[in-house]
Amino acid sequence: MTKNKFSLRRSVNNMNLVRFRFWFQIAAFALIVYGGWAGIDLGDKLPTFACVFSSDASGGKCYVGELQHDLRHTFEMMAGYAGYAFLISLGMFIVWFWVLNKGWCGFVCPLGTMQDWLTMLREKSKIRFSEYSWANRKKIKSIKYILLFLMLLLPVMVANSVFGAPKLPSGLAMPFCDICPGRMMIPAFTGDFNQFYIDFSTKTDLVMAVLGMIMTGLFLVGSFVKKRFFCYFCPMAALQYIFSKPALLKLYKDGAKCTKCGDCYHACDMDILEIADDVTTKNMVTEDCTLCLKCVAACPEEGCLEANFMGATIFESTKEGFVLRMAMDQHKESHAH
Amino acid sequence: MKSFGLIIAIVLELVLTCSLLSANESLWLDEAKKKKCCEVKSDLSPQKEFSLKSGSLHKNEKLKDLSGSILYIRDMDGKIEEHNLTGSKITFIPQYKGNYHLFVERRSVQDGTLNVELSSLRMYNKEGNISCSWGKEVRGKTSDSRYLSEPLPQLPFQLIMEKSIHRHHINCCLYAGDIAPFKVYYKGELLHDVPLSVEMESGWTNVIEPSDEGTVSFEIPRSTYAPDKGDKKRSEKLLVSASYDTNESGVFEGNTYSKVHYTMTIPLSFGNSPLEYESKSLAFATVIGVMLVFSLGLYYNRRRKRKTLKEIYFDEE
Repeated sequence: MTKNKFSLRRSVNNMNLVRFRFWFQIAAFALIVYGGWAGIDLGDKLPTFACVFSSDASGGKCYVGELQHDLRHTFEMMAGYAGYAFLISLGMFIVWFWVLNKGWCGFVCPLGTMQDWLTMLREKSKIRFSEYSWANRKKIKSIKYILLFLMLLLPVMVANSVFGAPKLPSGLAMPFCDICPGRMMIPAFTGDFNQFYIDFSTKTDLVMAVLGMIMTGLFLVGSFVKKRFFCYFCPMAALQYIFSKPALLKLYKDGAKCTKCGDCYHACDMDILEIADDVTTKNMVTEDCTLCLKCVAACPEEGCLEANFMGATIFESTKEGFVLRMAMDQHKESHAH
Repeated sequence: MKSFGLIIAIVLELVLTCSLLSANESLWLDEAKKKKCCEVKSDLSPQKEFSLKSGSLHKNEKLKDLSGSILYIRDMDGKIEEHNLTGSKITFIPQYKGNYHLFVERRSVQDGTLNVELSSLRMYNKEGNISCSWGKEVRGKTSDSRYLSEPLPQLPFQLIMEKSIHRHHINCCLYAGDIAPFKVYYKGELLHDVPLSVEMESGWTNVIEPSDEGTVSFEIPRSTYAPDKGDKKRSEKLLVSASYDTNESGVFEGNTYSKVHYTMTIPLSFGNSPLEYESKSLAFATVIGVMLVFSLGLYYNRRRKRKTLKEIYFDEE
């Protein structure tokens, strides 16, 4: 029994994470994007992009859409049913989120998966990747919080006069959905290109629709040249990070075992420097982390990095795993040449 | 002689069409507009009010006495409530957020014919009663159908709207240009030969024949006389009705009948087609344009960075 357990742990630690993640993402993509056609309905509070505009095909709905909808109520209504509904929705979002923590971004998010596919396409095309300069990175980090703030404020201001200011036009009721590339891209994968439109009915709708198209264009090119390009600006990531601390899935680091070799940093799609530099913090889930676990797979130190679910280690860095994965990469490269 | 035959044929056609259109003058449910005074300000669900109208969209009268009519309410879980109506208006308090389907049945005997007048209406309730519906909110179910999937067993004759076909991105409602398909059922069985009469608020009327499969579909016409076609909020009413006669005989409230005439009417509303104020080709052009500009910018930026540094020599003085 002990031997079996030991073997299971060993085979998990030695697994080809890239391949596992690739197939896991495909399964999650099928569930979220096409699940509705199979009668699957995971509800409308999912902490991942599952587009509400892909009404029949989607296996669940994104909480960001529901959140904007919930906030577009008068203060009087928020004191009643709308307020309770908002609290219940937020509570359910947190419960869903706590299960996988930021793993929703790294393993489930269809928009993240599309970006990973574009990265694979770039790698196959042998085109060099891009990086943000260190000076720009800090500025970029704040964009997702600005978007989150606007996403929360604008629907409230559509329904209410805040601080005596006039109510905003109803075209701003779901501001993030208007500019989210997922609104265009997720239904497109079901053959529905109807979300690609410019709305001329009002000035607000026109501006928001044009912004949405610009974002889609930027998403497609940006994700091709920069790994997880959109995740740096994602307000869902900012919202998730607020509730990340008590989540069940965690990324732990044992700083005493770290040699600062930098392998984890080089493997990270989000260029998170703390994963290599910080040897004092245990919980390494940062605001930009997608919990893709590439850092754990790339770490050569025994037990230095680990994915932990409710106190139990589920995947950890080992010398043996590192050597095996290096051999797999070399084998793949030699085949490619 | 030939022209005389043609005139007879035209007159007969007109008589037939008029008789079918007159079937449109039937009973239908109408939702009362929400009064500003009575908007919800608590955690209780607001009361909904409906009336029964008889006649066409243009010429109708509100029924003052609803006694003898039966109301069926089907919620999104398929639970059916039955109420015997009295008074002049229909009121009920929906407990859950979501779609409700209301059905009204009214029977009367006239000239030895039992007239069974039926109407159905879909109603969306925005706010439920939190103490009843918190479980539903937690579940957050999204596939709450706005269309009826199966006939209501209590009604012998029924007109059912299937899922409409949209040519644009909005799934919530009906718009001009959408194809609205209907099916007619009698005692649970699909009828293949019942035409549909349609009447629009703007005046358009038509009689639609069913296809071989029994589906009666029509494209909701664009309102030619609408003042502003780019107005998103404009909505127009539409009445769809079907009639069916059988040779059943019996006694109803002491009156004997030898025929039964069923009529069912569904009131619908639709908006201007989003295609009136949207452009898809411009959207694709914008996306492709942004991709081109961004790609070229990246390309030139990378090429600039790759240029070898020019060596500069400083002469020592």
